[in-house]
Parts: sequence; structure tokens; C-alpha cells
Amino acid sequence: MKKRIIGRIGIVLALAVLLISGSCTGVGIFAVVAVSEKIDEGLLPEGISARPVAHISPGLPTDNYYFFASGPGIWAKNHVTNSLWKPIPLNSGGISWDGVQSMAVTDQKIYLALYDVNGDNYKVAIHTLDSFDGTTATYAYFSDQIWTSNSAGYQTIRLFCPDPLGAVYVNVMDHTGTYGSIDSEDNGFDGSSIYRFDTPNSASSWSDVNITLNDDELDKTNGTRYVTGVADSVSGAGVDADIRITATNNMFGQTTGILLDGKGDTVVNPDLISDGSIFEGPGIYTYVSTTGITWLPRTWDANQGAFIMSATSLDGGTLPMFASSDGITWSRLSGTTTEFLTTNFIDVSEKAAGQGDSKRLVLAGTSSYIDGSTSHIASGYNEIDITATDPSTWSVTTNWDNYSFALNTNYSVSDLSLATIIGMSIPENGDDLYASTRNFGIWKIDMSTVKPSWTRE
Amino acid sequence: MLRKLSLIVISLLLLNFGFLGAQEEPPEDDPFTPQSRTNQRSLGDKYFAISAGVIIPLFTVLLNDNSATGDSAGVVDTQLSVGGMGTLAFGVYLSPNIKVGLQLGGTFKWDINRNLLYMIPITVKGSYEFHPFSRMTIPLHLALGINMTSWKEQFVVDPLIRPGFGVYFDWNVEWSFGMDFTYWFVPQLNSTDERFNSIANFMDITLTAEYHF
Repeated sequence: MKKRIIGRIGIVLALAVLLISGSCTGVGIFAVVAVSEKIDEGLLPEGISARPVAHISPGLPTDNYYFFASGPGIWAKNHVTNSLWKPIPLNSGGISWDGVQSMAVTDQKIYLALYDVNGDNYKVAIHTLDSFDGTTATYAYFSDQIWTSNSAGYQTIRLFCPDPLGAVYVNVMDHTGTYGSIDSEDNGFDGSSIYRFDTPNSASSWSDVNITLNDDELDKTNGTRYVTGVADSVSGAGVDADIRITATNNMFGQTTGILLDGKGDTVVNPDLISDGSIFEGPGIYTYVSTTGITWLPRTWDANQGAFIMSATSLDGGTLPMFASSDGITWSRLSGTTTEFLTTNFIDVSEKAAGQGDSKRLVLAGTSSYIDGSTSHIASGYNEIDITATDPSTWSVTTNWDNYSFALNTNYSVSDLSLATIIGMSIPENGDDLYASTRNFGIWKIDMSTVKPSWTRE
Repeated sequence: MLRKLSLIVISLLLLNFGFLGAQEEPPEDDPFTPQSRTNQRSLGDKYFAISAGVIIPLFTVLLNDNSATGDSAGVVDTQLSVGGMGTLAFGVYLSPNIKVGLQLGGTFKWDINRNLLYMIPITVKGSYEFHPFSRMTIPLHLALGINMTSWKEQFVVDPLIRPGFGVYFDWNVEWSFGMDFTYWFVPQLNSTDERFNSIANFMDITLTAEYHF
């Protein structure tokens, strides 16, 4: 019996050895924990969600403040004195508005779609935050830019400003039924229209600078879609051919995405049969839904810039990202998987931290998502090396063991590394990068050094 | 994939020891041996033990300098909290003083940023028992096996060495109650970045109830 028992123990040990020898190689957890940094919990309320941190320059004292919107309000802090974030009332046009539905930041004004719900009555209107003295914000109110619900339906607004010195784009989404939640934008979606406000920094009147774009691909004429992103490859006054607008009727649509130019027309592709698609070469194109389109100037590479955007639906067995120098022919980035849904990008390639490990980096903010019955948690940001001139050689790094931007023993232990990133911004194009998250507040990093650490606001 | 493989192997291990418990063989010696003291054991006796207690992080030995963090190789604080621990064990006596069994455990603790760290040790545990009194048992044990560690989105499997000792009061022939003190060596040597290779050191203190049959 002894021999038998000893024999069985031998089997167990052999199995254990097999398991160990075949075990995964991963991060050295105990060493990472032992050398990791303690991250302060920050001073913003726990669980707060935030839109990107913004800065405008209409003059002092407003220039001294940073702003962000969080659901029911706007918050501000004096970045010169590094004061605490404080909420600002949303009192504009004689109404105390309930919350911020959308926000776009120009050089001198913050454009806001503010909504108000009163019983069954709902309305949304476009305002601007023009100045702030530390206590009171001054808003302007476009009296002709208000949409009120009725028995047939209601509208929601999406604002975009790809260039602070350029235009503001307004996408008005029509919905049938009764307004329920700003999170239910797809509910009862019934087409949209798009306008462009060409002089948002100076004009005080809406109508004389408002340009209606071709919305045949949005308003049910050719398609029923809403805008998911706008990018402008040339700073200043927009040239239609330099602008790309992405739209879809379903974030997870595999065939409903479309690519428009600055007039709202479908982008004409070289093969003349796939206009509006993501064209990858003769006969190779896709209409997968995309978001987060961003222009990367790449000034350090003779200004050979490129667009970058991310699919929000599976295509080719992955959640691809696309890049293009001309906005017409696109390349897929390598290294994408089904695990990471990217919704936004920030170009840090000119910053010291963004040049860690001799790379030029773009950060790709991820979002949690549900794929059928499978839930995928968010993963902070991934890194994209855009050093090479040819976008077709760009790759995504998703394993933070191999990250080059921030100190890994800081980032990997932070809640940021598991957060949905709503947006990232670099106010005043300075050295501070802010990452605004869902439920995990706002994170800040000083990019003036290599491998810096994130701190929580 | 590794988690699935781990589950399969764990199942096999448990199944394997299930067979041990199911052995029905005639005793090799005299079928009837009078028991002279409460804690007298003999070949083929089986035991089942359940324990709960705390696990105390002691220190971590970094095996390499880390220029990225400025840490040198050597002993550093684990930066983990004291955590909770529980185990289940099943085994047989190979002789009146030697027993061997399989132990499955679970622990939890927090790092300095309040991230939970779980460890699931699976070990083959051998013990040599001293019986200074008829109702007292002092086992010296050595456990060898694997330690599965999960922290944030990371999961790794490492070898595990756990020497220790205990002090038990033998309530009756079937039940013993006592306390165990066990040291943990967890070499973590296959990090993708060798700067993060280390040996983690813990100690657990658990209260144990052991049933003999």
C-alpha cells in the first residue's frame, strides 16, 4: 500500500511540475507590487465620470481656469494656483439647466448642449461658456438653437470641434418616443442632420455663419445615421476636402459606417464603386462603424500627418484601427484584438514622455463593451507607435508590460489601467495630459519627463 | 487557456487523491492493533482538515536591479496587507508518525492601492508528527506545489515551498484541534521582464480542525 501511495504522490508531483513548467510567463506580480507607487485617491468625488478637461483663452481671469463637464454640471479649477475643482451652476438664459449633453471646445469658448427635463417636457439648447471669474460663469444662449420635445419625438445634440481655431459641428439626432436618458441615444433613433458653425470663436449670432451640410447619408435619404467623429487635417478655416466625418446608425454596426468629407458628401474612392467606405485598395473596403477619428500632424516628420480612427464593431475577426495619410486609402494597424474597444486617441508624439523607448506615441483610450453575452472590461489606454512615416507599419501595444509612456509600476497599479477613458486632452498644448474616465475620475500626468507617473485629480 | 488547464489539473489532483481515500486493501500487518493512546495513528488512517487564519506578508526579494524604478536587487517591503487564508486538506498516514496529503488553499490581501491579490496554493504536504503526550501532537510539515496568483488582470502560476509546524490538542480519537505556523517561499522567476523576477515570502498562522477516520 505504501508503494501505491508513494506512486500516486509521484504522479501528483509530476503533474505539478508539468503545470509549473508550462505555466504562463506574465508580469512579476510580487515585484511589481513591491515597487509600485502609492497613488493618492484624489480630491474629486469618488465614482465621478468626466468629459475631457478643457481650457479656453478669452482673456484673464478665464485663462487661469481648466474646465470639465460631468453629467449634471461643469467643474472648474484655477490651474495657476492649483486650487480644488469646484462645480459651476448651469444657469443660462434664465433657466437652471439639468445637465450637459455634449460639449466642444474652441479656442475662446466652450460650446455646450444643455438639456432640461421638466415632467414630460424635455428640451436641449446650444450655449457657450464665454468667461469665468472664479465664482460666476458667463453663458451665451442661442435663442434659435433650441429643440423641444413633442408628442412625436425629441432631439439630442452631439457637438464636435476637431480644431480649436476651426468650426464647430452640430449633429442633431431625431428620436421617436419619449425622452428617457441621455445615455439612450440609439433609442428610437430616426435620422439626423448636421450643421457647421464656421466662426465659433468670434460670432455671437448663430444664423449668419451656420452652414448646413449635405446630410443625405444621415437623414434617411440614403441612410439613417448619426455622427461619431470629425477630424480636420488643416488648422484654421476648414477646407472640405481636408475634413473627415464618420457616421453610423449603430455603434456596433458592421456595415453601416460611412466616411464623409467636410461638405457631408461621401469620400470618393479611387475605384469609384465604394464611395464612403474605408478603402484599403482596389476591391478591398469595409463599411464597419468607426469612432474617435483624429488628425495626427506629425510635425516632427516633415508634417507628414495622418488620420487615425478605430472600429467599434468586429471586422476581419478583430476590432481594427485604421490610419491614412490622405483620408482616402486606409491601412489597418497591426496588434489589434477583440479585447479592446478604442473610442478616442491623443497624440503625445511631441512630448518627452511620448518619446519613451525611442518611440513616437499615440495613446488609444479604451472602453468597456458587451459583445453578445461576453463582457469586455476597459483597459485604460493602449499605446500606438507612429514613428514610421508609413501608417501601414504602425502597431498597437496592448500589453502594459511593454508600455513606454508612463512608469509601469505606477500605471499598472492604478485604477486608470482598468478604466473606460471618455477622453484625453492636453490643455494649452502644455506638458500636462488629462485622462477623463467613467467612474474613476480624472487622471493627470506631467509629460515633460520620460516615464512619468499618473496622479489622480 | 491556462486557467482551464489549471482547473483540469486541479480536478485530476483531487480525483487522484479521491482514489487514495477509496483504497480498500487488507492491512499488511495484524488486522487488530489495540490503541494505547488517543493520538495513536497507523498506516492507512486518513484525515481531513479544515483551517482558517491570517497570512502575513514578510518581504520580497528582488533578484535584479530595476533602473526604471530605481530599486536595487535585495529585500524590499511587500507592500501588501495582512490577509485572510483558508485551507482544506486530505491525506493518509504512511506510518504512525508520517502522513501525506493534498492541501488546497485560498488567500486574499490588498496592495497599497487597494487592489486585491488572490493566491490559490495547491500542495502535496508531508508531515512528521511528534506525540509528546497522549493528547498532544506536534507536526513538522513541508508542502511542495504550485501557487496561482491573481492580481488585477494578471494571473501567474509559480512553484511554492511551505515548511512549517503545528501544535495540536487531540480532543479524542477522531478530532484534533490546533494551530499551524507555515512559511511561504514563492519564487517568481519567469516574468516577461526579468527585472521583476523575485521571491516572495509570507507566513500564515491558521487554526485547524482535523478529523481522523
